[in-house]
Amino acid sequence: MALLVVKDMTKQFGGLRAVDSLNLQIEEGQIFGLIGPNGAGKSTAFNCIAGLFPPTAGEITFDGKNINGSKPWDLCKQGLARTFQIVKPFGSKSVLYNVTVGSFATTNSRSEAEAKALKVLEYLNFADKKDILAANLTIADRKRLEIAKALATEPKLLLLDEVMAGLRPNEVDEMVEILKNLRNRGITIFVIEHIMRAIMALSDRIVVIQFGKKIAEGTPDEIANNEKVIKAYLGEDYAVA
Amino acid sequence: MNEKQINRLAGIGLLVIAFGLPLVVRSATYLHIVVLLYFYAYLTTSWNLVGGFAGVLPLGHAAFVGIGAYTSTILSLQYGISPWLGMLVGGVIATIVGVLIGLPTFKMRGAYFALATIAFAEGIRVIVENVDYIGPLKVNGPRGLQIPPLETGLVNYMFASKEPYYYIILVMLLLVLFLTWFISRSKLGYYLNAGGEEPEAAMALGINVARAKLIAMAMSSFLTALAGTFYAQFSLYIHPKSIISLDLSFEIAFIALIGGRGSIAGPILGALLLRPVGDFSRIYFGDTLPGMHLIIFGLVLILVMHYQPRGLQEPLTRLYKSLVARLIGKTTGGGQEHGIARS
Repeated sequence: MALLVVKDMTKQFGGLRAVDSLNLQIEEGQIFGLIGPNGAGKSTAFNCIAGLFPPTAGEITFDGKNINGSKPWDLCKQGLARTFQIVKPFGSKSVLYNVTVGSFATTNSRSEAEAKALKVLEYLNFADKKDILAANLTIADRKRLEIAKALATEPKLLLLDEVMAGLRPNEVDEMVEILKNLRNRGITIFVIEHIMRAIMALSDRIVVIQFGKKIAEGTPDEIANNEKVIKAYLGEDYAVA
Repeated sequence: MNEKQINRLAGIGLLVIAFGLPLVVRSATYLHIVVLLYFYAYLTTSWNLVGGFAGVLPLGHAAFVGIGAYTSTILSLQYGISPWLGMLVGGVIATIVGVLIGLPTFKMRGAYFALATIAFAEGIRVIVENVDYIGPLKVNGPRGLQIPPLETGLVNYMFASKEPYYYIILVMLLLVLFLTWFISRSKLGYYLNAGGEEPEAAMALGINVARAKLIAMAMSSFLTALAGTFYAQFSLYIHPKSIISLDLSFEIAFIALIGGRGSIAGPILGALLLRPVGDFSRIYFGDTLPGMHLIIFGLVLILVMHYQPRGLQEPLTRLYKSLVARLIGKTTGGGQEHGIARS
């Protein structure tokens, strides 16, 4: 069953068409990749889907319901969680506090929320840092905290915006493992990523956009050999290869 | 003895001192100063619900003090309604006004919110100062309202000595402190903190940030108005300059910022430090340099913001914790270093 269907979604900022009639469909249990050169409109597409701002035109369906213009907090309660490309930890609070904020989405009791948050932290091998202030974390741990917060809301669909940018290669491998594990637990994942090695290893299906328009869609292998994609990333000169 | 026991002991000790103080301090003047200190600590704690936890900077809370004071006083003078009941009515009106202020302004950020609250409070002061009647209600313009002496006692919220007022404001302060503590550990407290620090991230985690702030604002305005009634009954004379003034709004914010906004102890520590400073500067400079206390507050604020941006509560909490650790170290015979490391 399709968990997320985006139909002809367009987002216009003044004269700039950041996302132009984008179509995509994510099946339940998939890891779905969205790639494209800088400024292609990936994050804008995410923000429309996650309710930060409504699309100018088109239709977004999540879990069988139209969610055009729904507010982020309502979407979160329906099972759609996201991380931010520029991490946004609650810096003056501990890691556990940060994640507990997320798990309050499913309960009103503090002890229950804290217990759930601890479970998420353990799952992400993060529990040993639970008492550290979020502001004092390394960038890798901040990215992990972003995921922990989103996971604590118990989502069906997780939108990950460049959670691997700035990580060292071994940290990237660890993150890939974490995401694969999450999928095995039944969470559908929609991921924007620049690190090709990671997205090729992870994704079941990839959509490539450039200047807001979809230029290719397929399995990682198909994408890697797609002429348009190579052109978009490397320039016209490499097209013959 | 472990840390919990020491904390409990310290708490009980403070309570005993607070409740026993009037038995030791017999001077009405000094008791008056302490009552006002508690009054400010209460106001700042109420302010802290929205100004501290929700991360915005309201600078018009004097409006709610005024609404509380005027409502209960007018109801008592014109309709003979007990100030206790009037206090609740004032609280409800302040809540409505607070929500009405919050609805359009919580979407603003930083300085704009602060400016909007100043404008609202000043607007209310100017209205009260320039009219004698609002509808059938006599507010008596800049001359203010005098509460004539009635039979003293709890029913009329009027007493001949300072002690009853002392205990009333002490209990109010303890209740609002307990409420703050309770909220800071609840879902609402987490939501306010998160929404104050990173609104977008908070929204993505299922938090309707504007609604959480409105709830905090409603509670804060209600509680603030209750103190307005207390002030009216305590001083038996209210006028716009005394309770709807910008000075009062600013002093609340000063106390919170210097003590440490968003913490439970902050408002108390801030009031303990600033009130005596304010009182003595008014005693010694009142004739020659009126307003000196605000200059001193400003200086203190600059120093505190520079060296302890999270307020005085932070170094003091650390000091207290290391003292406790040392105590534990001694009683368990584990040595000092061990005790500190454990904390």
